[in-house]
Amino acid sequence: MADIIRDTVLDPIPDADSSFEGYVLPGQGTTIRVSNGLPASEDRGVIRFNTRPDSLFLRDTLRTYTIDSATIEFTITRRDTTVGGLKMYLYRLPATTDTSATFAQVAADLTPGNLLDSVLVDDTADTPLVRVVFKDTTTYKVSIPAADSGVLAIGLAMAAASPTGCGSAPSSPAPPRRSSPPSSTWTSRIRRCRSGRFMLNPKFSDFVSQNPPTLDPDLLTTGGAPSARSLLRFDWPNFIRDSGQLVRVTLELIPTAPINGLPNDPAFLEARIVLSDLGSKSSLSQSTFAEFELPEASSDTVNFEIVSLLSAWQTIPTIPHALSLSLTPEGSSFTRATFGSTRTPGKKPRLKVTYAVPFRFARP
Amino acid sequence: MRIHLWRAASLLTLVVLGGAIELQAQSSMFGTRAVGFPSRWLSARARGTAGAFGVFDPLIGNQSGGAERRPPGLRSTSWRRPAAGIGRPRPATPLLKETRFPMVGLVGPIPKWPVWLGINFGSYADRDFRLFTSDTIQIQEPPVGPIDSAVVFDTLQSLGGMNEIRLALAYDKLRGTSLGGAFYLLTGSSRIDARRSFDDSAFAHIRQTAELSFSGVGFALGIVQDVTKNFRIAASVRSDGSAAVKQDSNETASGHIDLPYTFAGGMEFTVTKKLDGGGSGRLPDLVGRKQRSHQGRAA
Repeated sequence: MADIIRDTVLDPIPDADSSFEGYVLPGQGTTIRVSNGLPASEDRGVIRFNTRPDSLFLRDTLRTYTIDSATIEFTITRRDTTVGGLKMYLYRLPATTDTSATFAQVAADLTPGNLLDSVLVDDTADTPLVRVVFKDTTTYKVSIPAADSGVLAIGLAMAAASPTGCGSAPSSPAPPRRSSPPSSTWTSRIRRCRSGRFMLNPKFSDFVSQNPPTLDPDLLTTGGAPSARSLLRFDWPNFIRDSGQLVRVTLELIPTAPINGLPNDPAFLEARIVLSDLGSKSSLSQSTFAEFELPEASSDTVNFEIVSLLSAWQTIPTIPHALSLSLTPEGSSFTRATFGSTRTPGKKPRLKVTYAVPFRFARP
Repeated sequence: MRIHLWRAASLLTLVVLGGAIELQAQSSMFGTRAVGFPSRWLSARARGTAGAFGVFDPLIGNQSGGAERRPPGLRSTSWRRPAAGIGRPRPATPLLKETRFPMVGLVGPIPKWPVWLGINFGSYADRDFRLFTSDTIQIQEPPVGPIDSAVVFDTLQSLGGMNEIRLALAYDKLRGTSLGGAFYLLTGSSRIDARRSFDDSAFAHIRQTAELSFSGVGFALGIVQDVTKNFRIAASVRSDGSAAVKQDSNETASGHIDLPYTFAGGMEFTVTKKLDGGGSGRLPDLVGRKQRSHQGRAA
């Protein structure tokens, strides 16, 4: 059967490969990015809790209360575990802070005067819980003026032994397993009554980046926040589709720059087949995909094995011969990869296809 | 002295029959691209004597053989396919599909004619096999990549075979000489399943299936001559031409396989009224020139 194996190389259709941005916005991913001098991105976290009521129902009567204590907690879900001394800083932000805040606006409020507290993160835990308790002499730090209408907003910054980054669980979507979304728990006391507790979830959680990269239309970009995806289209030859059986298919991508991210926090290049080619709004297969772990700080050629993916091109005659590339976790990872396109001399992507032709059973 | 010769011949015959050794060295079940494993065209009686009376059996090798000595009637035999133990363990409970009836026939005289007529159905070749091989192949030549070697594991499996339908006539009114001729229709099919896996998980497994059908015709002539009252000789020659091979639903033949000539001869002698002795030979059998040449190109 040795003589039934064939090899060929397929280039994408020229100028039909492109990148699009804006699929997952900051804060819509699985982590809130925070960093201190990380080359990949400089980020700060922003959390704004739901409005705290100014009175509570007790015995069918709406009564005012005073705050005895407050607890703010969140979970660190991603970090470089080789960097020690991770310390999280919580700052008070203006109650008017919203998702349109920029890095400059947030950074301007991260001053010692607005510092609520700092916490040394437990290095031994897989997903350490950061908890800050305000009571007795520190309760005043989280008191909410009447002008803020019960809104508390905080900013997150960090420090460590060396430049690094981390990610904390967001308010939505559902946080990863063994982690919990940010929350503030308040202990209240109503006059001449027992004390009670209530918890407030974030209205939104977000992060802001110092230098958000701009999308280059002549490159194939994946990752970042807002997240980018790339689309490649191929002219799938009839001699493979009609009678070939795919043995190995490798998508070769050449980075245009070293792929930077958070060390020891892997990001995965993800390829999906396109069910309906509508450009940036193409519908993608949710069940059929392939993943490739991107090497950290590498500019080596990426050889992405996708043979399991392209079997659909052989079996579904109406499917477009297009591939979507994205990076996972999308909108959350520090990693952003750019690869050469058909317009990049010397760094064009290509498919290396090894296939089997029909064995001639009937040829003695 | 004459008695001593007969005793010696009888003793030799008993030794040969007692061993019941069939010479099958020429049978090749690795000619997977030819017609396959040759069936043994022997009736139950002939198989019971290691094929010694094969050319005298009217059901098998010689169209004229034994016509005047065997009572007319229906004869058949069944067997388990011989390739069942090759490459895979025999299941504890035998499968029904492994039981074959390679021969069933009806032989009898035509009333008022000095002619015997035989019609029978038999297995010509068995294509039941499963072969495992391992090899290292060169793969991914430029421009795909630098030439690399990959260890592959191949499995080639077939189920089916070729059958023959024979119409034979024998004439035995020539003072101890019987003449016969036969016409064969060859037909059959086999389902083939070829698989290849790689030791490198980056390579996907290959599986290809096909159904091959075979067709052809053959002719045979035979003679049995009584030398003495207790001693007879027989000979036959058979030509099957070539078998056309069609794959799946193709109307045109994808290839042809040259089938061998078969020459057979034998002798039979009566020791006592209840004891016959005999021997026969067949040349070249199914592993003829063409099939042997295919072995080097097998998968």
